[in-house]
Amino acid sequence: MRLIGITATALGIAFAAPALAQEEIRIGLLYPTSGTAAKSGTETLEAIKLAYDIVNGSYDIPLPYAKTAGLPGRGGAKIKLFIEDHGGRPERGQAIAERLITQEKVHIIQGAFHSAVAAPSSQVAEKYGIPYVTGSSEAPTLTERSFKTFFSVTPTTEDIARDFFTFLDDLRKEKGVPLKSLGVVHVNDAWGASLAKAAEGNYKKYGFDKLSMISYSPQAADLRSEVLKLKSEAPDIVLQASFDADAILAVRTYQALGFMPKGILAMGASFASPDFMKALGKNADYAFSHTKFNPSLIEKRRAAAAVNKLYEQRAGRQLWDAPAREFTAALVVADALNRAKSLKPDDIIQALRETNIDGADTISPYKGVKFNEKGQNVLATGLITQIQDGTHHPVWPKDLASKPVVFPAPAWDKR
Amino acid sequence: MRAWLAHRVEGLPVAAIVILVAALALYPLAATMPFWRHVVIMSMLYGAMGVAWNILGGLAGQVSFGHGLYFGVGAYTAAYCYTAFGLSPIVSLPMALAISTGASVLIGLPTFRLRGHYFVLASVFIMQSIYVLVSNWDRMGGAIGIEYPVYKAEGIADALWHGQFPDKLPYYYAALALFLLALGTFRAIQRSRFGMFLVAIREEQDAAHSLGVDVARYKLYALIASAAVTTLAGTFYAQYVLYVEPISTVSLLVSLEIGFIAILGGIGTLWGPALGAFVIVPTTELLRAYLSGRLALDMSRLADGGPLAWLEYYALGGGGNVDILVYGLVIMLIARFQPAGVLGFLRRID
Repeated sequence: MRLIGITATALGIAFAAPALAQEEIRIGLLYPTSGTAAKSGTETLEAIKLAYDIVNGSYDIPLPYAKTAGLPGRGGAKIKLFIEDHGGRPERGQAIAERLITQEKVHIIQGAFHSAVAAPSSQVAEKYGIPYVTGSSEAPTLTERSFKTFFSVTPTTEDIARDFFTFLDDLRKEKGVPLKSLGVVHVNDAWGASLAKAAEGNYKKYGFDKLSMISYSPQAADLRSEVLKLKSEAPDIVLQASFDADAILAVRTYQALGFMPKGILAMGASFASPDFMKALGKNADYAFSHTKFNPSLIEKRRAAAAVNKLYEQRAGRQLWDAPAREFTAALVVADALNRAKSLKPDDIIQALRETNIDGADTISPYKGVKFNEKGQNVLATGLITQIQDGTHHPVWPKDLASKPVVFPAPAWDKR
Repeated sequence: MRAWLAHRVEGLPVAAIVILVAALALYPLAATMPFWRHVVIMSMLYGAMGVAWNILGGLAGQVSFGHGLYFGVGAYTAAYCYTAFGLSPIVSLPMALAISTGASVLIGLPTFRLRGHYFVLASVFIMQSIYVLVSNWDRMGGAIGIEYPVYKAEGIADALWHGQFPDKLPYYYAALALFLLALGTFRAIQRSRFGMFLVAIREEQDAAHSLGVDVARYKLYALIASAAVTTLAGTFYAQYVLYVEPISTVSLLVSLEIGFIAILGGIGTLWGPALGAFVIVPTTELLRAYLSGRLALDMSRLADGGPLAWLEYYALGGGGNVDILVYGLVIMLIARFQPAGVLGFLRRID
């Protein structure tokens, strides 16, 4: 009788143990599915949901936590998502973050696409001591606050400028071409201005002694006087922040007025649109772009092809910059939750702080994920591509390059 | 006493007003969750702005879609003075009111010469210009805005000085005070000679002018009063959210929201805009919280759902905008069946 009792107790413990370990992990997702960024926000959310589906389910993808159902470190615990829409409004984001924390009792928040929403909503998280992870809000001011609970997986605008300059430095050494003067051509909005500011703060440190700045209105229909001014200063390199139509106009004007820097580097997607290549043909060649995801990564990152395929089935288009970055951030969250000693906020924060993920285990061009004391991922680097024969090919960093770089670019009439 | 309680203020018995105010004052004691307090705080904030807008738009008949400017003056002055010089909002508030009055005069003098649609257009135009200006103004944080540093107050006096509280309760009562102040200001103007001049201007500007009403001057006074209350609301907003950026303050979007609340609630009436705010703000917040995220984005069904799944998905605005669809529907229904606003609807039932 007693033996049975003991056996029953033992059995009870044996069954109770996994039941206890089957915690439910609650993650709040704070993204815009209405407002001006509704489409991008929706596509970004879809990538995040895919990431957590991969963690919860069992997928044959070479990513951490893909093969096992749930988080192995938590006894197969599943993740439950609480999706909220902030519509790009800071006060809504803040109120929702507070609601997620106090009512839904989420363990961690991931957000917010807009840096302007990430700022106040992460303040709330800091107040309650709940961890907050961003994969797409790239204002450098976010991590400058040195919050205890805030972690940024994405490169900031400062990091993007650093990528540009490191790349130029590598070129200088590799090709033996002296690069002394720098021109910055940018649309006069927050985004363009932030690149200009970062370039201004860094150019001397990276061996340039002259800087010329040209800014123009996003609606500009003519850039001749701007380009003539630039031509008279004859910078070796041009950094460019443009949108679609003005990027085409600028390069056409360079060609028409015979302005030929040794290299043109564009920020963001402006030189990456199909229209850019179609409108400019051969003249689009040899331009560089900075990006955080490129379809060519699908060959270089072992899991990217499979993830891209799943994403395409759901979203109807290929992965691109922001969704890919938030996908990576979601896996960082899953990794920290898996390692955390318990689901207490401080333990999750500790686990985030100890994050050390190799770039090869992500789908991003990052060297890896490792946070500094401010919560910024110090291994977040972008990818620099060069247009060759009408296609973007990664040329930097070296380990992700698919083609050798052509530099300096040949003159307009020698193409 | 009894006669006094039965006395009606614009159709609402004093007894009912007392009960409503008491209910608002007691509400946060029942609703302890921050989000539920937040919904009513935002309703009172927008209610105050709708009532303030109504001084100019309702009484004087000058429809402005540029009130985000005065909201922004309040918000940015508080945020900038606090983050740059450590000035308490108690100190910066008079400065904000002075700037708002100055801006009212600068804008009012030329634009009040315009009539009807042209005045509306001018207000939209000015609002957009100011928005672009602030978005490119480095000192004001440009498009990224100004964020308050996190401050942990020690004691009540310190918290009051910094205008920052760890709990929502003080914010709640500040918003209630603002709301009552706006209603009081509107009522006082409505019952004064000045208010009658405004109504005369609204009904027939030329006739009012020929009877000796200084049209330009009284329109300007109405704008200054309306702007001042909106500026107070802006300062409250900055201290509440502790973050100020252009889109949610000095934008056309916010200006339209302020105007819509008054127009949908019942333009020109005392209670209309207040009621409008309490219908529209909670509707948006709750729809957003309980519909948008829940229904959003089950794109995964698209793959094998065929064309119908796609149709359904995009008909729902990508799944994420259900709240806006319902919101739009409410606005259409009010505009179609009840042009006098929510208040007009309630009157008809009465």
